[in-house]
Amino acid sequence: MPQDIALPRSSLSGSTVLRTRKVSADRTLRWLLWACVFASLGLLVLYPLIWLIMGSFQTAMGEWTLGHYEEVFSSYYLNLLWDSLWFTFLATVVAMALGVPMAWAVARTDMPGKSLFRAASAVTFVLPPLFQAMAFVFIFQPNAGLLNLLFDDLFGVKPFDIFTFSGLVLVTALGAYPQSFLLVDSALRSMDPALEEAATTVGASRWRVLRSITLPLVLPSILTGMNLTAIHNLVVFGPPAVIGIPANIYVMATQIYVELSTFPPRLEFTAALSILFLGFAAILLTFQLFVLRRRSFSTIVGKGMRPREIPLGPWRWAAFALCGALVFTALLFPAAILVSISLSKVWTNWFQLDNFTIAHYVQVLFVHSRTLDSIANTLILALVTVASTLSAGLVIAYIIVKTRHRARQILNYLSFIPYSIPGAVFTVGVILAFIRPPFVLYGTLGILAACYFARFLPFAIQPLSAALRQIDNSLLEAGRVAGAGWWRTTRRITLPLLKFSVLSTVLLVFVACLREVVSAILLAAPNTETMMVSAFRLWEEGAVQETAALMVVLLVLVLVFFTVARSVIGNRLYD
Amino acid sequence: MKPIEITSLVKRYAPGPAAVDGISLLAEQGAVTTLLGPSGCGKTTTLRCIAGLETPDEGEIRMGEQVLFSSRSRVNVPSEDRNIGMVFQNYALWPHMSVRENIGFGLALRGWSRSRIIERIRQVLDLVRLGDRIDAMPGHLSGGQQQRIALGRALAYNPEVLLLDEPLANLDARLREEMRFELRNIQERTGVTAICVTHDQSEAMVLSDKIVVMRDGRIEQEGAPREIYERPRTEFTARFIGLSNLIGISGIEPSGNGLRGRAAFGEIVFPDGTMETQKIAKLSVRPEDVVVSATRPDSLPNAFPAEIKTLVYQGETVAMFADVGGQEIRVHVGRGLEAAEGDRVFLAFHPSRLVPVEA
Ligand SMILES: Nc1ncnc2c1ncn2[C@@H]1O[C@H](COP(=O)(O)OP(=O)(O)OP(=O)(O)O)[C@@H](O)[C@H]1O
Ligand SMILES: [Mg+2]
Repeated sequence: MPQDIALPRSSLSGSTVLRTRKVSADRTLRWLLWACVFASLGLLVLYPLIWLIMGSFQTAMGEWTLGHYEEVFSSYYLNLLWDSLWFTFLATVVAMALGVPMAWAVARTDMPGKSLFRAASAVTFVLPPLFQAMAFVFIFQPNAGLLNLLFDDLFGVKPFDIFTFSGLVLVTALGAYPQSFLLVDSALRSMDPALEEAATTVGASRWRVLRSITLPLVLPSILTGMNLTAIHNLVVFGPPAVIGIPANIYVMATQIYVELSTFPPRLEFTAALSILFLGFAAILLTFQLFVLRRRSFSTIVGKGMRPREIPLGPWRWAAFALCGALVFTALLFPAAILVSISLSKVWTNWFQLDNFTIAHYVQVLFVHSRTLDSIANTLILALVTVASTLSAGLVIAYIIVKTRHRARQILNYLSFIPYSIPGAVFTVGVILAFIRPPFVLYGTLGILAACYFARFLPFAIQPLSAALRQIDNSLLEAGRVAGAGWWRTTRRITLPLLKFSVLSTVLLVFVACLREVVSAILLAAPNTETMMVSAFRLWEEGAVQETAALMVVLLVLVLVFFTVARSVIGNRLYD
Repeated sequence: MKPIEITSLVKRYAPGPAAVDGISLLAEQGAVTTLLGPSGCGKTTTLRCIAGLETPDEGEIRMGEQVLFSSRSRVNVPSEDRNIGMVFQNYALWPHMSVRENIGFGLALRGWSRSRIIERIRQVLDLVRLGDRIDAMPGHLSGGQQQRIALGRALAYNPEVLLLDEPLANLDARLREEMRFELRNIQERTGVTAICVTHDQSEAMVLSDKIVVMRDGRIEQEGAPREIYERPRTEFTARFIGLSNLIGISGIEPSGNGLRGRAAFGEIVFPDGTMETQKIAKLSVRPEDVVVSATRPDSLPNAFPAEIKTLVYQGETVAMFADVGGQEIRVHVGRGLEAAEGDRVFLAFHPSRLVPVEA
């Protein structure tokens, strides 16, 4: 009966013994991995949060007190809170006013230069806002600002002063507009054109369609974009630090920085302040999670359907000019200024040939031990964070998506907590937790690694679990049935299928580490500065060209990794 | 090649009715056993329990002498140690591996040498008639080719049992028809014990040595395809397998060497089966077994006047819907039929073609 397909079966019996051993090894390995992630989440997420709360009720000597909260609710801090919210509100309004119309013009009209505007906005999105803030200070500061000097030469006046509330709001908004732009643009692009065409067929004019169909359909995205922008503005550190502090304008994030920079640092009080801050961020996030999530319409179209473009006629050039002006101000101009300053002997002299030098790059990259150390620290930190978040992220995503483990929801929530807490606040918890035994990490790179792990873990879990969801269970089951145990199935099937997601996750976490500023600044000791911290300190010391050179190096790194990551995401192989 | 024997298998996903509710069956060595039933009746669950991909709550699964699962003696051999081949409904070919690697994977795991593996891959590809696609990636194969590679992958390492979950469901109608015979052919050549899941009754007819009809997690009836088709025991089986006219019947009493009872349109005689008389609820008769004639056929019992309501041309046959004393009866007649809608005819049910069924 069995003919050509039958082969000697003896070869099968030999491996049976081997495989029984493998099963128990599998189980041990799995148990170990599970235990490791639970332990690390407990230590690096939960423990700092517990200390944040406990610390806020303690004096520096460890006695229980409500004193910090009494002080937090004093008029100075309530005013500060008010200022923060007002600042957040205004910067959000301005950013929305910039981002949403541009999204419409890019997604729906025949304006030229769309892909340029999209790319520029994506780049602005990923660059740290500190960069624009610094560049704008170089340009518009009252005395030495480049434009003030130019006006002084030409007209004998120095009309600009960046160190004002409106200066702070505008610069922040320039860094924040991509949040709403990217969201609304993609919502508009993915909207089924038939919905609008249907309105046209029943006789609606173009503006009527915009008002009655398009706008209501993208309203959820606009609201989500607004909310994300508000969260961004509430926690942003760069502009409030380099523009706000000299102008004597404080917001929550910078106040935490100031409290911890005084001597002795008022750690426990800062914890109480952080919890107040956390409360407000929590309101926005709750709004995000529970109110906005429900209000989305599914209007997604299949591939290939492109909404018809609305012809703007001659106005298309006006639209182009406006969008161009925005992209120029938010990205190209500040970047050009930083580059030119970093290459100048005397930074206040405009572009002149005899003013050109690469000495600052040489300093920053090869001589100055401070920046050299910071580059090394940044790279070490980024590598460690990538390795730790990636391995934990893989295990956690696997447990959440591919197992029926009882604790998988807990795991999910636990790992996303730091994502929903302002970076500065979580960092205060990290300091409180790791400044004392049994885990004394303060002053080492270890405390930065601990903080980065918790804060960037969600960046890894998110894409990895999305990718795992795409892998049909039957692919893994087919491996088991064919005779591969859990570990072999994981190694030979799951991981190779995740290859591209892993690669893009690595790059994105790497970028997040490079651009991180607030945690780094609160945690860094003199010998554990990152590039961002070094740039910030050099800035404070007035080493203008070196600051610019270091920032340029950082920006180039961020851009390179970001671009590679995006092209990797765009090339998923096994569709 | 070993038989699979399942005893009182229970699998519950959630509180409430079990997905598989106490199934016992024997899949004989070298034969094809098909689990057939409507959606949600627990076919896939049963198959996955055999594969070790689900852990049953109760019962026992044996492969030959080896106990694969037993709730009583707490045995549960992991899937990878059962030496089973499985063809998944979506084929589950690993997209990052070529055809060669897909088929070779299970062989390498069993410690085969390189040269034997490659020889075997060639053999398997010849068997499924895809010898020239050894280096193709699964994404570049057509649905039918993927199906055959999945089959080859499952057979490559000489599994004791081959499990197939709706193996043909993703193919278009024509290919499905072809692959039924192909599948049967390959199974016969390898002689592997096969358990197949389907909800397509004609597929089950062609493929199986034994059909197991399932309903709500239980076995409704099992037997050879012919037996299931010609001797359904319940109304459910009669309706689910093929087309059936079900004639309600009451007042059953012995008559000669058979039984007689009252249908809506008159008295009807039928043979005495193995079933207890009280349990008989209806008589099942296949549309092709009803005799149509213009005049009352004197030689046949059970002849009743009828009116033709509708005639539908179906290709090989013509479906006639006739009204017999208020009940609609479907009849399949040859294309040569000379009749028109509205004609009055006689329908006769040969007693041997009337199958008493339970409710
Ligand atoms: N993973 C699961 N979790 C919960 N319930 C399940 C799961 N898998 C199956 N079920 C339930 O168990 C019952 C039997 O499902 P099963 O998949 O075995 O049906 P099936 O006979 O294969 O149906 P189909 O022909 O639709 O594939 C169904 O009611 C189904 O909803
Ligand atoms: Mg199924």
